[in-house]
Amino acid sequence: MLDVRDLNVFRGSTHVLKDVSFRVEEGELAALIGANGAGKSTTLLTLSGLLPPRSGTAVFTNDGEPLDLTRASSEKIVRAGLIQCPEGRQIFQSLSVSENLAMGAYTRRDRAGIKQSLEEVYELFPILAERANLHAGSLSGGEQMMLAIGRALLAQPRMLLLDEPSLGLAPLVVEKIFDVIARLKSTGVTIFLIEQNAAMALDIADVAYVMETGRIVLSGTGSELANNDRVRQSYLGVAA
Amino acid sequence: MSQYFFQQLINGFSLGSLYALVAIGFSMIYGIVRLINFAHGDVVMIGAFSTLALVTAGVPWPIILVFVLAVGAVAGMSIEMVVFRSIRGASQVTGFIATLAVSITIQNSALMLLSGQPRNFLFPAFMRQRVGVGGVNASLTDIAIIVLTLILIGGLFLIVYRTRLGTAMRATAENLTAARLMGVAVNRTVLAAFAIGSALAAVAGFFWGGKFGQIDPLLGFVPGLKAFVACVIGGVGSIGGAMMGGYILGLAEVLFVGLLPQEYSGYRDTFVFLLLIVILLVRPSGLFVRQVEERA
Amino acid sequence: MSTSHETPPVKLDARVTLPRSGFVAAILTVLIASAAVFAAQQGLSSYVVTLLALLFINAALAVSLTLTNGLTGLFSLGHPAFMTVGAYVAAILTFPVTRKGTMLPGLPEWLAATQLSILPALLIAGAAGGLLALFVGWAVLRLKGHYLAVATLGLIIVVQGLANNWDGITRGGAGLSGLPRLVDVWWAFGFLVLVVAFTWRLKFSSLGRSMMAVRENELAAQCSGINPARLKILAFVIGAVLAAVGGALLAHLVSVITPKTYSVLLAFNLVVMVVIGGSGSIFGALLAAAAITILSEALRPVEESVGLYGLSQVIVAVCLIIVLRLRPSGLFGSGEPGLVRRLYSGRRDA
Repeated sequence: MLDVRDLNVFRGSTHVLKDVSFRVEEGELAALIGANGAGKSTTLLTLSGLLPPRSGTAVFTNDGEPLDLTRASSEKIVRAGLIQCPEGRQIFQSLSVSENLAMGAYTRRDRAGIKQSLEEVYELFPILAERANLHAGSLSGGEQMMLAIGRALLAQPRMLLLDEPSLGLAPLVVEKIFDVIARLKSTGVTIFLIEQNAAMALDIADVAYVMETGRIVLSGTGSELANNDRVRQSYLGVAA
Repeated sequence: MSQYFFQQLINGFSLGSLYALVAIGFSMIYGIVRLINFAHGDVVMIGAFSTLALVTAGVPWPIILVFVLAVGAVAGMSIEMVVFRSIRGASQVTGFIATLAVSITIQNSALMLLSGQPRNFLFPAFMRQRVGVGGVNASLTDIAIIVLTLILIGGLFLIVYRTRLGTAMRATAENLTAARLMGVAVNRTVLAAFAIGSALAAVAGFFWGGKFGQIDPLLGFVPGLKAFVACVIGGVGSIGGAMMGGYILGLAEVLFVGLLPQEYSGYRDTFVFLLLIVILLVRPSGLFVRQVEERA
Repeated sequence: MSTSHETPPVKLDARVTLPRSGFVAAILTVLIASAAVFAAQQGLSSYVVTLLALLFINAALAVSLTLTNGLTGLFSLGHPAFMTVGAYVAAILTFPVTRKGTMLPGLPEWLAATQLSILPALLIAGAAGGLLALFVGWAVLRLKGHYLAVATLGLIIVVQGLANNWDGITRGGAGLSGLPRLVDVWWAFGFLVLVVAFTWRLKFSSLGRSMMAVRENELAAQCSGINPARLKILAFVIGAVLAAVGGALLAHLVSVITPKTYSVLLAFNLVVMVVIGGSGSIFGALLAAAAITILSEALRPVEESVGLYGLSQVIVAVCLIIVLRLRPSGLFGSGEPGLVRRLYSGRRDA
């Protein structure tokens, strides 16, 4: 579904992504783990068309229709069903909860479909229905995360890019979020998950990649990596 | 005394309406690109001269109004595409200098095309007649300005708070990256903000000649600056605040002139900018420190 | 104590050139330039010589603006305000006593009876500009970026409003004309030399470095023991003093001052000189000031013959937009070109 090859991305004069290649198959949950500053978020911003790569390809294929992500506008990428739920949630604080969700459905025109998606999101996160008319900025961190995910769901993702969904949240909330991610996967949404919380990510991932200073240094199934010595030492905090 | 006071009040609301029209656009543009558009005042001038040209050509008034709105929108979009797009994300100071350069280009081009000679400009006689209730009377021009401005502002609020475009504009103003991730075509949204904001400024120009009787190519400079003052009063980036700031500034200015002895009336602009400096010092985020929700 | 604060040993071998060579080069340059000015005064028309004086004063003003806007990073557009104040103060002081009574009835008696020569008038004008800047700066320098820009623009309008309406002292909108023509090209030249020498010394002093530190990162500067508020006021006041003196000089060069002589347009043109030259680059400001003054003057006959007044201003504005797009940090950034720096600083690391 997503095929990334030899991607090189610069931010200013800094070479952030170096020959990055990976694949995500349809229906899969892939995880990308790595330390702060390894280039994980840069990878996602590039996939969403916000950063133009210097070289390499990234092709997103939905229903047999390939889309070259290195050339398409972010608008087109969203329309194709590749949706990002950005780092730090980035909900629109000054908009109401329901307006935030409406922004999620910005590219959609099917009123009935939007209404149905909205109901699904409210069912998934009943708290959002309760707070529909409040300013999103007044929500708690966990609620904002739910809103961010709900907003992404309203775009009807075929593939969801999740950037650090556990960041800054209480353990209970993190569990709830990961529950939701697992449920989404079971409904057939392909998921590409970025996490610093490597243990949880590897636990639910089908395949996983490890990124260090802009390069993919390891890959394998979730359990393979969870048992890899290097991963255990560096990311799972297990002494060698 | 109280009659005189009410009359000044109407006068102040009418002037305040013009400031509000300019300030709202100024604020919308600032809110979405985070840069001051110094050329915004010159759109007022463009609106005023378009009105004059159309009046001279004998076009009926309602059509002139629609046309002036369109001219303002086109002017705003051109400013965005020619200058703002290339400096998006630049520092405040770079933006300021660049738009000052645009402003000077527009002013001097207008000087070349139209000459610096002020032109007389009057609304038709029926607009200048005065209507009165209980000793308080106002010219139809002032009443038209006040009413039309309220209608336009109402329409603007509907667009900004009730439409998909408006929601996208507010979302883009708050977080450009996140808006792009929602699939918002940011360029088009920014363009829309420039178009709407500049159209309102052009309408201020539509009224300008009718209210002051004369127009010249440099008339936009002071309203542009005063729009900034109005925004500062109301909190920069807030539409509601800009509107309030415009009304407050208009009222304050008229009352300053109307209630103080004649010999101080020349100090009108001096007063406005002293007011600006004082407000910037005392309440730098505006008199109405509102929630971010007003931003658009 | 911990050793982590020790600075690494400074390499001294970069400064092999004689420390005084910069001074010698500067003196030589001034002498050569003086000879050129003398030659111009002898050989060229008085129009060209006046133009030269204008160029010198413009260049000095641009350089003085690099001090506030470039070195310290305060984006002030207030120069014309201080110039206006300086010009009026000096003009009132040098005005012949015989004409004061009729033209300026509002002057207090002691002022009406005073007539100074140009030098003390310039000094007092500078002091007046500095005082105003001290007062205004205390208020507006807390503002940043374009807030400061608009506040200082507002200051221009406030000062113009006062000049326009305070009839008894300023003669209102008509302004003061027929000022004694006390300034010639040598005054302008001397002013330019002083301003450049002063700004240069300041820029490469520890005070100048502190100012640049404030520009780059106020918080970091504060953490290394700099008081940003005081430095900003200092830079603002110095800039204002120089502007006031420049304004007074200009008024006595063209022998007229009106409330509109020094307008926002002038502020813009000065800023353009600084931006095109590179914010903080003295040499860049000099070069850009010369280029723009000559350009506007050269285009004047074109404007007059075609009737397109404002053409030169449009060209200047468009040039600026192009520079901002292609080379946002100006021609020379905030530094001086290598050759110039080596020549006058006598060392490479300046």
